[in-house]
Amino acid sequence: MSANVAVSPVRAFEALYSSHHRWLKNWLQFKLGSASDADDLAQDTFMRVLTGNTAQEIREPKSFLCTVARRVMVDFFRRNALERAYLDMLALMPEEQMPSPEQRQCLLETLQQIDTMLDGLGEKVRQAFLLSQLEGLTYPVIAERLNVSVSSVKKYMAKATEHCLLFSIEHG
Amino acid sequence: MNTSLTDNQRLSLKIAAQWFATLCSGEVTPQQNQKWQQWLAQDEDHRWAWQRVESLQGQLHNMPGKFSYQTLNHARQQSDVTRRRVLKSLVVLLGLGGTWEAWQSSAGQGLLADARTSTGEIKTLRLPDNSQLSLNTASAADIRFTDTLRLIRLHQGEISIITARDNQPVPRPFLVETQQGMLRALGTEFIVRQQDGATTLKVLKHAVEITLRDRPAGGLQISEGHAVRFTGSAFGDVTAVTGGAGSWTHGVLSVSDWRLADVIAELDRYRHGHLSCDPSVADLRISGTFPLKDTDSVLEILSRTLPVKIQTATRYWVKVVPV
Repeated sequence: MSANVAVSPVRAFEALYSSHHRWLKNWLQFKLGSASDADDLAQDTFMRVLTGNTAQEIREPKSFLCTVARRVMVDFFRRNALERAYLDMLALMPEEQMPSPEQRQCLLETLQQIDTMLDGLGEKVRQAFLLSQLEGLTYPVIAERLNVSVSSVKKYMAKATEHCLLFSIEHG
Repeated sequence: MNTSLTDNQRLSLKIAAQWFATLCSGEVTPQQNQKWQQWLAQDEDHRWAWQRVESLQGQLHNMPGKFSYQTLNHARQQSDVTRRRVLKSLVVLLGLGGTWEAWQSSAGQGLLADARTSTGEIKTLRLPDNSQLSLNTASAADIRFTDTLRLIRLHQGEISIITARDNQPVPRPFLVETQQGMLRALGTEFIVRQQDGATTLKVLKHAVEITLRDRPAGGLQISEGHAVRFTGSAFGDVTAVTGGAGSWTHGVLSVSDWRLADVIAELDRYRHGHLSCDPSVADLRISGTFPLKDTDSVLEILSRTLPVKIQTATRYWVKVVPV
């Protein structure tokens, strides 16, 4: 009896990278219109494939890579939007109140983490959580703002919290 | 994913999240509190899950709350705009759009507009979100609406604002910036006046939050029916708004038992040149509603109802004196 020798995950990844890296970069460049963004995002895409440890199960490498790359692009756009909004908000801040460059970078990173963490949630769930935890509003006030019942607010809070707990465990 | 979690851990996280939602409601009975303690004591996984809750909470509470909340919301709107932009261009391609240019101009860098009134002029504008902006005599303001905020920059004079509910899915904050600070409308009707070295805010409906230019940490919320004057670093006393405070938006000055000197000072704002009042008649009391468009006729009414006459040196030098 001859047994198939399982391909090691690292070997599978290397094979995928060398056969498709250039192709993926071109595809991203076509989508994004920028060579350097395409470079970065191609790297991110392969990093995700590597950490997801799925390279050895791929049957359709191109469509698989596109799927992962699309998710990477969505995150990239979201990061950009957050950074722009952050700069907007900083611009409104009085000079004297401006945090130091290190603080600014640190806060931006934390905001990005939270933004990513809350991404999969519905808008009302997300709002309820942020209004409670960041704005410090009470449930009745949140309920009125979102036009829902107080008991819904509590449900949203539990849902968002559970989601965040799971997310923070998955993503270290 | 999540494969490293046991069923018990997963369940513990779920219940910990529910407890967190209960405890954050601010209405926890002693019995609930006791139950929560019991739940914690029951199981190692429960305590592990609760630690995760605490570290999440710690992370959130270390951030500047309001700032972070607004940033996250703005970012979300911007991504929505990107999404809408894609949809919109599709509509245009299909020939269904017709307002592409109008849409583009407001969605780009932000609609930048100067609103101005000359002396004696009162103007009311409808803003892109349906809010209403009135400019009193000799006023100037910039209107800056972006995807993430609604900002009025008051340079001089006085404005009255009636905010509308924002038509965006997540309402953009409505802000008014003066030389002394930033005002954030909390769904409201209010009046802001820029004076030399100070701003006066009068809140007619709901509330407005003030952040001082030089002392941003100590904000103040002014509620309906209250007024405050502030400099860049300090608030004056909060006083009651007098009736008729917003009457100028309707083109009239409505006063009840005012000193004549105060009425004259108010009318002076609407006139070129200099209008003053002799100290001997300054404390005469007066009530009534007067048209601001024609202050000459108001002076004439005054001269007929009070023991005063109008002394006119030139058209630009007018004094109210005793008969």
